[in-house]
Amino acid sequence: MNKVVVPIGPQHPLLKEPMSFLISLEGEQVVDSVLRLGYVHRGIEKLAQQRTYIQNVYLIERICGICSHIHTTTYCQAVETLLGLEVPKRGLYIRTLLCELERIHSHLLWLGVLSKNIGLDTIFMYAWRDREIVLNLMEEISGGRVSHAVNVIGGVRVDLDAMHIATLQNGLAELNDRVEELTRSIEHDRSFAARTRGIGKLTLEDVKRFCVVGPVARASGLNIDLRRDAPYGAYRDFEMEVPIMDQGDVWARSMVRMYETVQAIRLSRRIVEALPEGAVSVKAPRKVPQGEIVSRAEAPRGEVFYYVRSDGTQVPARLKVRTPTLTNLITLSKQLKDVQMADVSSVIAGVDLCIACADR
Amino acid sequence: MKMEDIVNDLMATLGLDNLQTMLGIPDDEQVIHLPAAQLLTAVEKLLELGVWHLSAITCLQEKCFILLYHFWCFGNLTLRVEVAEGTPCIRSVSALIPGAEYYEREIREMYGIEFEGLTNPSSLFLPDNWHAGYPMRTTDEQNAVAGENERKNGMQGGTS
Amino acid sequence: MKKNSIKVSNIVSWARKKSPWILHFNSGGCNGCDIEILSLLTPLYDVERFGILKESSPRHADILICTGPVTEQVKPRLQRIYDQIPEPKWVLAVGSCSCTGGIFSGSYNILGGIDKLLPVDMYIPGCPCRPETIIDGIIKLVELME
Repeated sequence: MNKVVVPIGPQHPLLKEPMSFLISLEGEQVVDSVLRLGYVHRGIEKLAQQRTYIQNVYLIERICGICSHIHTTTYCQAVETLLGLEVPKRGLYIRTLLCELERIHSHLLWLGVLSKNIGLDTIFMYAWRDREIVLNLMEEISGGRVSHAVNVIGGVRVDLDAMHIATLQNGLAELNDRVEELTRSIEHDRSFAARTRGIGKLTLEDVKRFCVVGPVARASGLNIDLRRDAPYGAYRDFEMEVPIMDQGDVWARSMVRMYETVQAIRLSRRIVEALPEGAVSVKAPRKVPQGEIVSRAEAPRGEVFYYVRSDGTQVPARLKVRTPTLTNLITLSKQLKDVQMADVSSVIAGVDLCIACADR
Repeated sequence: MKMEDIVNDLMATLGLDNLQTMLGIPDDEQVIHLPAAQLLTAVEKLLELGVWHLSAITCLQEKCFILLYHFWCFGNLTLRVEVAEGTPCIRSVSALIPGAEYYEREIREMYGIEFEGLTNPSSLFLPDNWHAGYPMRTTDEQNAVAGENERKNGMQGGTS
Repeated sequence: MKKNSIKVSNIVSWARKKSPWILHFNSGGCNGCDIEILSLLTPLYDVERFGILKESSPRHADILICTGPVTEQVKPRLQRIYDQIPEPKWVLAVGSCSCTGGIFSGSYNILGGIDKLLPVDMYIPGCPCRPETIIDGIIKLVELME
């Protein structure tokens, strides 16, 4: 049969961010795919070397709009350790609470995008409507729906009073019912299963060879979650369950993310109940002593890695960021092989790409 | 295996003795200094010992290029390799760890270090028509100018 | 004959103002403004009540809503998309990055603002923009569509 090359992107209804695929087809089956990145490359690592540590908090927040808080969390905890600061417990709890709220918002966003891509628009509308509850809660706490600017070097800049806590408890209870209903309906829905089961498969062997992280890895049977296995922040005080599946296809990834959302809601409620008294931040000096540090955290998409090197001034000597999407993108070629053209949208959405994170 | 045992095993096999610690979250990193020639042997040994997760490859530029290979296996481990300036070149680990391909391609276009054995050395992030050199490299001149700006501006820090 | 032709063009302008179809393009932004633009389609903000539909092809759109500080790699594609949109067309720059380059100005890989490449009709600042601000901007642009 003749080969046909179908270009997808940089502007395409499937893609929310610019990236380019060249998909080679024989008939309706994909035989090869080439990915071109770099459309969102803003040179963050170079910019970070020209700004002070405090200015970098605002720059790093805008590496990605969806997982902005986890980026600043990883950065701030690295700089705080270099400075030898100990963030008060209340500050750590508020930081962790926002990490979990962000995980909920990110997974509901992904669910909407996946559903829209496979043609089930109703789930998109329901998921994004329920996502508004989380955005309202985050706005109550921080003042921003998408970009919170809650983290500062030394802790957090917001505190929760009795009214915040009451709103959080009510909001999370409502969200819990809605998300559990969504999870139950997707779990048993035959249209959703028909569009997602058995495609985009990755075995555990592939996951280890390509160093895949996050829900994509956990859906192929890899039992690693940094919140449980290398706890940071307030995660040290909480036990958590990590949902694992072993089918390795888009359906398994969807279920892992939905169960993770339910877990995140439960964890957020426990954090709010156990919130300790005290200050929320300590004062941080501007000059960071010489040294280097590696910091890891579990973003909604997987392990996010930061390396900070300081030479004793107010400006970092080197900031290295490695985001989870960059790791997962390497497997996309393998996932798309032998898939029907109509399922390409499902595979691309199932990986939950955040090209802004990957390109930096 | 615990990370301590893995580190001891690796150093004994390769006959190394230069082990330092670096700050890390939640635990400190073990940093093993090794010559570039032993890099592939070290990675093979690590894979044998069950350490397969390579988090990232960081490149630093001081008097020479320093490559840090960050591994994680319920504990942190970094391999530190130095590459001479001039025509920097080192063997690629992407045959052993396919997940390293993107990290090496990024370092190649940002710093200009060649990786022998990298199957796909094309541009990753920079545009196809990029002709303005290696963006992340610092030269002595650039360092001097950047230092002056910081001292003058202090809070401002940014450039135009 | 003259009376008939004036009537038709009036109808066309009225139809265009009552149904401005948008094309959304991200030229290298962080995604913050883009998810707020997508939120416009959801039940809470629901821009379809203004006749706004999010289109997939540049050939069907009236307004180009653009976010992001144009990166070098995306520049030729953004120009091509703008050329493909049929006249009359308008460009909306959403977010601080697309107005002036925002927090990324000074980077080696960005142009710094959409108006360095395309003629922009409305600037909507914010980092990120709230959906209410974006709706306000689109309505003001529609009023200018005389």
